Amino acid sequence: MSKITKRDIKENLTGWAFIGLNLLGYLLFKLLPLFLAGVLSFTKWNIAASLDTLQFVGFGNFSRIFHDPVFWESFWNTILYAIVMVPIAIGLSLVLAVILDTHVFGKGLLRLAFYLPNISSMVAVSVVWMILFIPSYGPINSILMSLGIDNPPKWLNATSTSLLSIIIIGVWQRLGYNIIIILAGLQGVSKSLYEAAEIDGANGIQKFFYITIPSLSNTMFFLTMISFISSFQMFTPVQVMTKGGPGTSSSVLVYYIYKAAFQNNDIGGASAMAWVLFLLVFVFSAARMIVSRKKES
Amino acid sequence: MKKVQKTLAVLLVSAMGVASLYGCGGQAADSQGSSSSGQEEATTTQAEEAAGTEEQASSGGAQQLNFYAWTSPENMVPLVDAFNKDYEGTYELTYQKLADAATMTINTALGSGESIDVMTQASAMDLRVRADDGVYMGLKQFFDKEGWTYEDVMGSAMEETMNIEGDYYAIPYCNNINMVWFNKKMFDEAGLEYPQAGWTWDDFRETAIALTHGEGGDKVYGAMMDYADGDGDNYWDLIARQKLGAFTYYNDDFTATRFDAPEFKESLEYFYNLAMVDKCVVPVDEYMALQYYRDPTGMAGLYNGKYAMWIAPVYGCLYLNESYGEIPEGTDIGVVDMPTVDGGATITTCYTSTASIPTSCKNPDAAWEVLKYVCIDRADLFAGPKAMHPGYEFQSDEERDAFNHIIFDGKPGLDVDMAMEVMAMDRTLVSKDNTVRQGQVGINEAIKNNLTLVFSGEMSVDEALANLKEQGDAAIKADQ
Repeated sequence: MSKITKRDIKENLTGWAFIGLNLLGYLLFKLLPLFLAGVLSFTKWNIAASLDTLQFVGFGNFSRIFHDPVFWESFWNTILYAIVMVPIAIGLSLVLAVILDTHVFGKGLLRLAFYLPNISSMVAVSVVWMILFIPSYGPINSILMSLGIDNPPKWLNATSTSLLSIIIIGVWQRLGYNIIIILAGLQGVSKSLYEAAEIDGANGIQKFFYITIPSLSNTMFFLTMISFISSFQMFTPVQVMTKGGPGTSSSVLVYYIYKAAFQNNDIGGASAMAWVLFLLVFVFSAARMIVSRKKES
Repeated sequence: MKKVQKTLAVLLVSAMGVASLYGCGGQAADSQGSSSSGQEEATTTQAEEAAGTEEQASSGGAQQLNFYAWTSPENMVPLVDAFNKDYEGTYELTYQKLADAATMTINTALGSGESIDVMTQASAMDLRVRADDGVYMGLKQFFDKEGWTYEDVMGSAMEETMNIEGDYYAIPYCNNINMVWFNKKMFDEAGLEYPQAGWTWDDFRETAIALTHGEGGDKVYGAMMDYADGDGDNYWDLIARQKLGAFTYYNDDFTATRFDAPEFKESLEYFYNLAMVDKCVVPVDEYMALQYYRDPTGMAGLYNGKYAMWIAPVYGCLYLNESYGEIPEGTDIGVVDMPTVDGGATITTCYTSTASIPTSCKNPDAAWEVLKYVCIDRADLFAGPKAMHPGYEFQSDEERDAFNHIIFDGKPGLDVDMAMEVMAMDRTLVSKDNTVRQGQVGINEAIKNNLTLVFSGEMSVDEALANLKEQGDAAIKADQ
């Protein structure tokens, strides 16, 4: 065992000092609230009242939310949103990124156009989409009707299409970010691979499936993870456009948590739901990482 | 050089860390100190308080009092100045603006340990929860000291809803009476007479149908209604409220709902027919997309001729103001009482926002002076400028007219004479405020979930009411 020198200690201390502030912020503003939410999930408490009114209710909040059909509908809607939105957004982004990576007229402008939704205010964007989706005279249905579709969807105003409408907006908003990341990944793919493939007589589709996609596996892994996690936390479009309706057809977990905590003053129930969401994200992330590691090994 | 840089970096990072810790710790210590004073200090006498606190020292002997609401600070200047003049040397009132009237905003302010003497709120349910959890003081003691009864000052409709097991935990600082605003030019163009007090819901429907014309984006509707969605009021139960009175959703002993009552079917069917059969009111998709549930947008839709009638509280006229949007030349807005069930006496729904004294306030008697001033003595400086009626009952016609002038004068585009004449008429008020805790959250959720399906054409009236009955009763049972 090598001897710890004064220099080692000094270097270690320097390192701790550098991460100290960040660590402090993480502990105070991330880990501590997470822990407190865990504690609150076992209690009933009105935040306006003193701590004396805090009642320990055991697993009462969890039992209550697990017997709540709206919670389950929100839960499954969240899953459905993620498993439909993420693959479509990544698939589309991949195709668009590959096209943008080749010689396309106005490449820079197109990249900017695709990225703009990502930096736009989701609240403002949602209001615009609400107008686009108006069933009777909104631009989308006007186009569909001019194409001969007599009964176009009612989009946000029907239980069958409300979540689909939000998925469409999610895909549209996510495209720009995905494209930028994939374009960065494409820069790392060696041109010699494509040249070799061309010599071997591979066509464009073969090059895409046998060179581009395998070379982007790390980028895809990163995008999948980030997209799934952010889609589990989707909130703004639901809050602005549907309020979870019609009925509860577009309610998602974060929106339901928000309603419980901020509108219905149910801090315990909201904390319990927040922990369920945390576990969902955690289990998903862990499973994806295990699969990825196995694949690498 | 490298060593100096490293040492400097470590020193700077450490200093930032210590500063952050000190900052957070200091605040925590302060707030802990304040919150721990809590209820004990609520019993502190005025004399003890007068002994001299830091606040007193800073305001030249006058005791510092804090009033929390969500009104913009510049609109509060006249009230605060008047209070500080009237109580010069005794109290010094400071206004603290809340971000909004949301439940969590007010709860976090109350729980923060800040010194709050009077707090406002828009939700009757929030009031009830805070009262039950000991956050607010009972106010009956102050009414008794003044030699008043709550009913005599505030009226029977207010007393009925604000009475929480024999005490009162809030005073309404405003009373929002629902009226029908209408675009007179649209009536003139359609060759229709202006509606008059005593008109019926059938008259309303016929008028709305007659005023509806056009197609697609150019369609003009007879009326706009607030659906059980967005942040607006619900209209679907207005007829039931007129017929059944306060606490409409509950049976007499609050052990079950009464959504199976024929009045609810009549009410919901009426509004369903307006929206889905006659299509003479703005449909729910446009209502949501164009945000008509927001009052300023609601009034803008009316004066821009998107629809001809809008049921909204009296303060709707506040948005006849350039600061909320350009008002077209020649705008002429009239007002009439809500339609009646049978052409008889006018029964109108109303709702309030209220003000309370937290139990943590340091000087309850001083807080009472602020509360009384804001809600009763000088409602003309708080409710009036917001175009709201006060929570109390007027003692004379002169008093009523003077207040109505504050509300209606200087509103471009409003027929002030008509508004003054209409507001001078007699009407029975039915409060929409629901201070019953049992099942309220569940009932409200059930209403939203089922009614949005009704107005998007996916659920029948009977099915919705059956669901409301079942889900509402279950919510009450779960809370008992």
